Amino acid sequence: MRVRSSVTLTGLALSLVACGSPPISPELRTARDAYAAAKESVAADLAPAELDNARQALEKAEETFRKDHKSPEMLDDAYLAERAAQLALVVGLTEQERREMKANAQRMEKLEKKLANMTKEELAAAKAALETKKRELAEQQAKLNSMEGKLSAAVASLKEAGNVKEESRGVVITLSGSVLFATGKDTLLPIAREKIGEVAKALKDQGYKSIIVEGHTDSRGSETNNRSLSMQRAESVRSLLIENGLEGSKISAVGVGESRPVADNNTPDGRANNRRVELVVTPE
Amino acid sequence: MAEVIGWGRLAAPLLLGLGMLACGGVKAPQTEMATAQSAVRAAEVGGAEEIPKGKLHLKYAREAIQRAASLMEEKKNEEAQRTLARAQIDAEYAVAIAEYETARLEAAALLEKIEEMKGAAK
Repeated sequence: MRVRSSVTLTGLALSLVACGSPPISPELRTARDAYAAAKESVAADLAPAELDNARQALEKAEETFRKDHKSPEMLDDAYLAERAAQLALVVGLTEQERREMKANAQRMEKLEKKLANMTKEELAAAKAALETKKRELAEQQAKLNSMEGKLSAAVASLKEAGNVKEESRGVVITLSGSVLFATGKDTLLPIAREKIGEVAKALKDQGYKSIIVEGHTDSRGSETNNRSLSMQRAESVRSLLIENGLEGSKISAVGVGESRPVADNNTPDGRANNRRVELVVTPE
Repeated sequence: MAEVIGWGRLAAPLLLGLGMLACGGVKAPQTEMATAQSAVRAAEVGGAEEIPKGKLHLKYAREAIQRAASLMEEKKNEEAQRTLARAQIDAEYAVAIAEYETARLEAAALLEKIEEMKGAAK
């Protein structure tokens, strides 16, 4: 009973509504919704002309509906109004995309410039670093070359002037006494000046920390005499080295005498070898 | 269905009269036809066919044009004109959809490129 009465009531209410105004057609409702959506969208700002077309189309559809809510014209007009609204919405969205794209294109241009500059800067820095390295390398090579040249020249001239040996006390250059001095004298022979000049030049080129000039004699004569003779000879050589441009403060002279023979004093050859001046060089 | 046919049969003479009236009052919408056809071509050229939604509205437009052509043959010029209006707006909508898609893809591609460049600039 209750159910039936409520159904009747509902039917009554529906018919009352229907009586007041014709039920809205679904086509027109769709058109209204489409217009409302477009109006709320970016189309309001970005596609105002299209949105206005849509508004006019909807008004026309509403008008047609009011005149005859069942006419096929109403369906057509509602269809056109719906499409016009959809069109406005899409045109608005398109404009939005285009605007964003424009802004992004500007951003990209800036980025491109930044990137190009950065790349240039980086490239320039890398090039500069490379150039510096190259220059340094070239300089080192040149230094090495000249050092090698000097060194080999120094070693060659030293070898020519005397015997060169590397010992624990340093590089020992032995100058034969017979070449340097006349027997019993401490004045240098002219040929000795020449030889010692070469040695001095070689030492200057190669560099040295200190030089000890040691005078040695054979065993003939008294030991005291030999010692003072060897000292005087060492001094003579030291002076000559200084004359040739070596630093006096780095050179000392020692008279060793006959105490450190390198050969047999009983033979003339042995004695000749024992008469000598040794330069003990501590390299740089 | 039977009712509709019945109504149709009854209304046939009436419709004929209306059609004759229309014949006198409304010219065959040749211009509208040409305009709608060129709008369809514009949508085709714009690439609407490649986008599902664009393809759908292009289809609506083509079908409406065909309907309008039949209606014109039947001298139902007023109805043909209204049908052509449908074809016109569907074609225009298809064009707009294609334009939107193009703009959207271009914008996305640009954005992607920018992101790439930003990565490179870091």
